[in-house]
Amino acid sequence: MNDAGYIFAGYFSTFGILAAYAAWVVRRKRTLSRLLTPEDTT
Amino acid sequence: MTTRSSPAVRVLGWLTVTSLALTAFMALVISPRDVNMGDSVRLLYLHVPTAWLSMYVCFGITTLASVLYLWKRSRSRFWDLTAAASAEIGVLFLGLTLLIGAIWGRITWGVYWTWDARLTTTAVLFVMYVGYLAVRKVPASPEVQSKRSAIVAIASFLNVPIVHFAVEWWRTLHQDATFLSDRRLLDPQIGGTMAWTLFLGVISFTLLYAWLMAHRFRLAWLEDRLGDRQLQSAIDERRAEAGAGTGATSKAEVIPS
Repeated sequence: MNDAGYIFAGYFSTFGILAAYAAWVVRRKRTLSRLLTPEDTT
Repeated sequence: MTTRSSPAVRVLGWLTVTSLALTAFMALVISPRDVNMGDSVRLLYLHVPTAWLSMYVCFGITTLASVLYLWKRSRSRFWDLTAAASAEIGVLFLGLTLLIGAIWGRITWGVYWTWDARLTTTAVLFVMYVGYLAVRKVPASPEVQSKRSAIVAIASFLNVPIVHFAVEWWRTLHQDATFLSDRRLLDPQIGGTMAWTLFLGVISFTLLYAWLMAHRFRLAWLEDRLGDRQLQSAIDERRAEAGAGTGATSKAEVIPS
């Protein structure tokens, strides 16, 4: 494969950024769910 | 309240991971090299889906939700939070579109960036939606904040048709649309394995968007609830202080006499 460095850089950065964002959203959601009482979230 | 997602969202998550892995495999291993672009075509299996989703789906839903928020008969926090969640994911996807496009440009054109009409209008769109997210952070009452955000979202979407038609109006360096144009819709310039890989990429990123929306909306809603609770706590504390202050004054008045 020609330009493999650029192509793999594109794939790793894309999936890395997406995975980091997804992890941040899920972790923050879990943290806030623990902070709030069931009454707050209904 | 449980911190776990619903079974449907978990199934969606697994479907997303599987389809993204399959897309990467098809793009990097199965898809042939392009006659003109060579192996750099493999980057377009990420570039096209992220661009399509960010501009038409994410920002489209943000605009629709903003209109529904501004319309008095359908006004609700639900639409405001939907608009915010979709815009944030759209900014992420559009940022990735610019990043992958820059890498592709380095291989194909020899430069990461050029002031081409499509690239420039896309960069402007990116900045506009970052501005939308910034406007949402400007302190104000929730209603004022939501109204002005909705107006900014609708104004920002006016740039989407300009980005879409930039390749036809100005005809600079960026290539024409592969599917979404009058000429190409019935006669796309892609076929076989390459078309199927691109199609799978679009499906995978659409699933990813749906999964991210489910979580990001829930997070926005929890942040909203937390904000309400903190505001209520602050009001209660202030009232308690005022009550204590009133009590102290009464005592001070009583003691000298």
